[in-house]
Amino acid sequence: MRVRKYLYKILIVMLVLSSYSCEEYLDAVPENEITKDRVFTNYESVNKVLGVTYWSVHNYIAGRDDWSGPVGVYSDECQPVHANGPHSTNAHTGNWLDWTWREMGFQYNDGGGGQLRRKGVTVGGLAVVGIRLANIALDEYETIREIEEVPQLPGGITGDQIKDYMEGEFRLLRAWFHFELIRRYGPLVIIDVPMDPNEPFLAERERYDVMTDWIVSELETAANLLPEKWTGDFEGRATKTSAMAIRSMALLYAASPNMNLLDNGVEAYNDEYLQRAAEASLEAIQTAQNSGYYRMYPWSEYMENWWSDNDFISDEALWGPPQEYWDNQGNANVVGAGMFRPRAIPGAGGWAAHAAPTQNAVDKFEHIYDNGNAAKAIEDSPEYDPQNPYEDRDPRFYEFIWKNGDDYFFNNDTKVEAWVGGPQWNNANQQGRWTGYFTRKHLWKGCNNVDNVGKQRRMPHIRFVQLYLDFAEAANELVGPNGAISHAGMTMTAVEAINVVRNRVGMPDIHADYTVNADVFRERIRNERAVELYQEMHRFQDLRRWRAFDELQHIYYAVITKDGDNFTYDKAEIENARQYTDKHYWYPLPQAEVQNNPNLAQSPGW
Amino acid sequence: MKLKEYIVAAICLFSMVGNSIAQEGEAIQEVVQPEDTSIVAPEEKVRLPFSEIPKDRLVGAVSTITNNQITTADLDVRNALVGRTAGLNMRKWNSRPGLDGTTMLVRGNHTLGNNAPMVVIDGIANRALEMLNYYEIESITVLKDVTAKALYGAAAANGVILVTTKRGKSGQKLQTFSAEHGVRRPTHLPEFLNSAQYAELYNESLTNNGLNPIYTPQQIEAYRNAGPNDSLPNVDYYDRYLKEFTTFKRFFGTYTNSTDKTRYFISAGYVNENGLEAVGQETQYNRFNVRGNLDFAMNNFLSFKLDLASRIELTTSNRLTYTDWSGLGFFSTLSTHRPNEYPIYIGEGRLGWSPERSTNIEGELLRAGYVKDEFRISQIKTSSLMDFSAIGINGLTWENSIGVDSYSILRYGKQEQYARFDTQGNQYGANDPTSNQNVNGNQLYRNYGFISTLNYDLTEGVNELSILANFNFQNREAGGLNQPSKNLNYGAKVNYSFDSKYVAEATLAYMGTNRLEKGNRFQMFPSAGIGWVASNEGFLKAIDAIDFLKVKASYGQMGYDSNIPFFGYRTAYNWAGAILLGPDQATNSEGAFDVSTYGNPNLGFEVATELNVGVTSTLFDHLNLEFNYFNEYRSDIPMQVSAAYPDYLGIQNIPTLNFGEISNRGVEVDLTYFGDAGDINYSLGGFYSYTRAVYEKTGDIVSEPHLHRDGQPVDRILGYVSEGFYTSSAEVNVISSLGGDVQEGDLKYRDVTGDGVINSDDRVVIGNSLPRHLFGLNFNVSYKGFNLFVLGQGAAGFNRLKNGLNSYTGRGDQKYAANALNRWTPENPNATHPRLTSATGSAHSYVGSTFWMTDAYYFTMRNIELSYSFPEAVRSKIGNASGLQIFVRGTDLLSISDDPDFNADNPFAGLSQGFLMKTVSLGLTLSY
Repeated sequence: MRVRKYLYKILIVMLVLSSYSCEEYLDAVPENEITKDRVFTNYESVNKVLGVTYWSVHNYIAGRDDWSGPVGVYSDECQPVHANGPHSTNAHTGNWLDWTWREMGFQYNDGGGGQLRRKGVTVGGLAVVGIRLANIALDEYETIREIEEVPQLPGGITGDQIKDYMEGEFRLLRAWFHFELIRRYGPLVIIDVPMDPNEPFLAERERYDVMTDWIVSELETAANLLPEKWTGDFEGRATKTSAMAIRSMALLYAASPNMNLLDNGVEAYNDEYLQRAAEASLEAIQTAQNSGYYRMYPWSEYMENWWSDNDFISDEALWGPPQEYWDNQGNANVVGAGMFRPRAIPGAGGWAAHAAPTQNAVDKFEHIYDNGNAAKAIEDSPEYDPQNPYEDRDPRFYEFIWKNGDDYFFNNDTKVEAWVGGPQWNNANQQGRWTGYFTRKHLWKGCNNVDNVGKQRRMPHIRFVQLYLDFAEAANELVGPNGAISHAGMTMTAVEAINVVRNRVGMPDIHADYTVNADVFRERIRNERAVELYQEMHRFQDLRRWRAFDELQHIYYAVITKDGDNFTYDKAEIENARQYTDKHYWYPLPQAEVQNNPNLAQSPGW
Repeated sequence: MKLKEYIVAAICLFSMVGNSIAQEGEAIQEVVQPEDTSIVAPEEKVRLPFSEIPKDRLVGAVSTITNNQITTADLDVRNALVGRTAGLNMRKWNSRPGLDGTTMLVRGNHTLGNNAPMVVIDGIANRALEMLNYYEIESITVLKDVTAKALYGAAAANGVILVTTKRGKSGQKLQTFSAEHGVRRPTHLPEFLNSAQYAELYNESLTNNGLNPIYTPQQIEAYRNAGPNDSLPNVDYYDRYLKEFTTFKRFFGTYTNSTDKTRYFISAGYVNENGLEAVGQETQYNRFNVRGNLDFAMNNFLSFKLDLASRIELTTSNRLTYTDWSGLGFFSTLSTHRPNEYPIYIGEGRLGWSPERSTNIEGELLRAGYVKDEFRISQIKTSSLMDFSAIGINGLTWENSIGVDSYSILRYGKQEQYARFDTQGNQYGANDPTSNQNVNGNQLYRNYGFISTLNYDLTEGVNELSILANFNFQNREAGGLNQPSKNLNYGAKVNYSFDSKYVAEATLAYMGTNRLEKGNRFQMFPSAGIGWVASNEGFLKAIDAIDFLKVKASYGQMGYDSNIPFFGYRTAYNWAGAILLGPDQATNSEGAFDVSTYGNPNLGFEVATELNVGVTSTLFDHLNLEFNYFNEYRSDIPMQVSAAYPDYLGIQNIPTLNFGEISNRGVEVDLTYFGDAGDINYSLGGFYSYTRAVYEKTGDIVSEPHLHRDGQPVDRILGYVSEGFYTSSAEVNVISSLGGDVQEGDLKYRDVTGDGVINSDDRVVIGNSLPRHLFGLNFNVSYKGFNLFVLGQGAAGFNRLKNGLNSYTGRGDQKYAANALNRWTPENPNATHPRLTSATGSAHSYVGSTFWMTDAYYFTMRNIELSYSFPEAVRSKIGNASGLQIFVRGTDLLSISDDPDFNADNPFAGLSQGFLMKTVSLGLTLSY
């Protein structure tokens, strides 16, 4: 019968269809199923994981969101001119728990650089991402060692060598990120294995010295794996010297009063760590000198430290974030430049929120007298004239800071007119606070919209010269200004080290009046450090480790009065500039971190 | 035969041009629908997934809206459902020629993420309701409780809108032609300041912030008498660039006929509608659509259906309006360009230049090019129906259907440059009208469905039994979705009724989804219901007043998958971008660099557990009543629980967990009264519903307990509690983290935490955004040939914030709203606007607070229709027409609310999105 025939056919068709449908129908084939196995058996992938880990090293001057910059504004180096900017409303009011962005907190954001070239806006957020990446790679390192296919590499590096070097780099980066965290938040937790996100995280805080010891031992392992130098396209990557330099810095931090107070209840330097720090800095100096690569720039090339016409990689930078290959496109508008440029000067191209040098910073540059043979602090110099304040100062002053009367442009006559009521005054007033100075160090003349001169910009974390400053600080505390420390075939005193720093920039030796004892000399070492490392994100961390917020009690700006062609100079205090108390010697953890993990104590004082 | 041949045979089978038997006793098409809402006679059948069931055997919550209740002057058929029935929460969002952005919720919010109901048209899931015209629709059924929804699978848990299109009816022959013309105009126009007012107030903003005013008295005086082309201009954007109203035309024809073996319904329609732009190319919308629904009976056993529908939409607009579909164009320009910002023209044909913007509105409208949009939809469905009573098995049917929809969007246009000039005559940009026409977008996506259903009905004396077994799959592609959503469901349902008094029903739904890993991707969900028709009990039969009374309850679980991310179960790495270290940095893009997602291998379904208790009744022969109470609990809602993953782990893309829980409770009442008095027939109906959904488990880690979402409504509005203005700066005793300085005339917020700092911790729940109370009222009266229908809809128990609306604020360098005139000054302490500020970022007094919050209740006359049907004496003169009707319709003509200038449906309408419209139309329908 016809009906049965239909039925029969339809039944069969249905069976066929439904047997197909049941399971395969719901199979979803991902378009890019990339698992761990595929990543760590491939050299290019490992190289890229390493690259992204490098890009998790925070770059203060190239983050799009670092505006009104952490570089300086937390300390006495700079003042954000935007009175309503976040640094003024949150950071300076001490309201740090509400401030989990940029310098503080763990919020992660690629900062506009994309997932690869991260310019993450929180140091902590980048550091924890970097730690996670390094841990994944180091956990897979046995697999990585078995990769056979490695492309031809510059400098004749073999496949086995590059695998050693990369392991060293992952270890160094992981150690650096831990150091970045503990010097801000106090000791946290050593994370040296990949964390399973499906397992609870309930670790407790370590001691600061325990974490430092782990960081130092990791860096020593890394130093043994890393090359002396890189060549060609690989220039700028971490070397043996990088590991040694970070080790020196980490040990000096561990020796500092703030850390010692936390671990041992003593608000003073820790001699054991001072000794290790002094020796580590000597070892690092020696490694750098023997590297065949690193050198201290002579004065004529001094500003190459921060920008250069043609070379991406600074010879003096022992460690720093990867350089901005992509953003330095040959004009003045490199990423982040606006946060250093004065909005008040038409054509400068500055942002509403930029950082301006304070009078405090200016006053730290010594005055040179006696025909260039002697120099002292301005309050000590016999020849310093407060009404002619910018004459005969430390040569670094003229390179680091724009002052009243300077020519700002090549292509027009606009001068920096920083006097009260001057053409830039009213404009500046509209943007908030006024200091009378503008930042020059991270810019070059012509880095503005009028001249539009492009250069390559750099923001090293550790420059060669810092090793001398580190050594001087440790040696002065251990054996006084003129006591020698010998280690690894080198002998040096604190005064010698400081004179290396000064002589390079054309400054006379440190005045004998300042080297009479460790206490007097300590202040000058700290002053020298403030000047040499000005606006390199050291000052605030240094003040914290020294527990020296008394330096921040008064923040001054210049009051320059014009009368005809004559100027008179005075200063005035910015009210409530830094409302910090003892708890601000450590950054607070974001409250959620503490609530997440009941074992993780909030930072001291918070 | 080989496998391939079977498949070919199957395709032939399903695509044969057939139709289906005129089903004897297919009650749904024969019963005369009563005038209103969900109440139908007990013996009438109700549409459910893959079956129909007599109303007295229904245990779930279902509302039915029939064609003659679908009336609106709006084109979008969804707008006809506004205020129609309890449990359906419609929100008009905006309007653009041809398409209104109306959103639908069934029983409010259920979950995090996607709350939208599933729309099923003629059995095929995931079709869009707005693609239909009202004359194509036979009925719309809203499936609300779990027993009604479960068989549609894991995408249906938020409710189902089941739409049935018209089909031919046996013995019926009908031709209809209709024409409708109408006008639309915005419901509200925002009010902004003119140039002189703006300049004065901006000066005040600057002064308040300690800055120097920038407008001189001479400039302000010049603004006072200025026109749009003066060098110190005054432009009233809404006046100059908006037409008073726009017009539309709609035509359609339908043809219904039947023979012994075939029945068919054929329709065709055309719509033309224009945009509101007064300058340049106004938006032109043209739409053509056709439908043919055919039923063909091979014999008593086998019949076929073939449904074909196609629609073409052609839109032409200027580039500026076009970008408003994404919220950035024409309306945003009207609401943001300041009146004095730039002269429109500076000299003959020379467009003015603004230093702050790269555009001139006139240039955008006249010289920037155009966009054309072609949207084509075709929907095909074929079904075969086997009636086994022809071979001796009474009551058994087997229906198989395949539906294939395809959507294609082609977008092309021209983008041209134009020059602007400043007051010194400097030129910016060049006039370049020579660019080529380019394709901007070309998308093609599809939607498939397959349904196979066995239905068995048995009646033995007082026992009535219905058994249903179903297998269906759905496959939905969508523009921009990498993966199609696929669902595969098996279902079985048994409904048993004893003596027309006691009903019991059980459903098993075995749901599958492609969003879960093998092993987790299928899950069984049971549900059941009972009903008691009390009016059939002897003791109630005696009571005349009670014609019908049924008590019902249902309870069960079903899965939900739309919030589950694709591949959320596996950990994957990114593979993209350049190498960062070493040679070939620019060119070498090989290799993976980081984990893109951490997976949760245990990811499973979100689960809805639902209880529904209801009463259905007819009293006094005239009053129909339906009451439902529901209590829904969602658990295992997929969430990224950041609290479970410390930032310290450095994981950006944390795994998705089955974690969240939300409860949702409410009541619904529908009432209809039918009456007549002599020649007058009337009905009066209405509904009320209450819904409230609450977070039960979110895993929030918060700095202050009052910010924790658990226990708070899902539509909560967090904000500051305003306690009036500071009247002097000396009063300010808190530090504000909200931006800007705080001085006299700024808002004084309650320091909830008492720490002397006003920051986000001081926010509390100040309101909620989804109406708690919804109600509708409708009234229909006919007298001789006249018929009047009125439908009103109201909402209450919800709030909106005005601080984000530039039609209410004036601050920083924004365009200033008229409300800024009533700002706080020492002389105006009872202001409706805080003191002015020139701060451009976030500012203390301009964040969400009770000051800016409004009680958003409203009652709107949604639809009104007056029609007159001509008597036969007239009709006979025009070729014996069987019907001739003229009608006038109005939509959204009247509204009552707290603020008559505020549209609670969408406060952004006319500011960054298209206006909401009042519509009036006049039309005629002629039938033979």
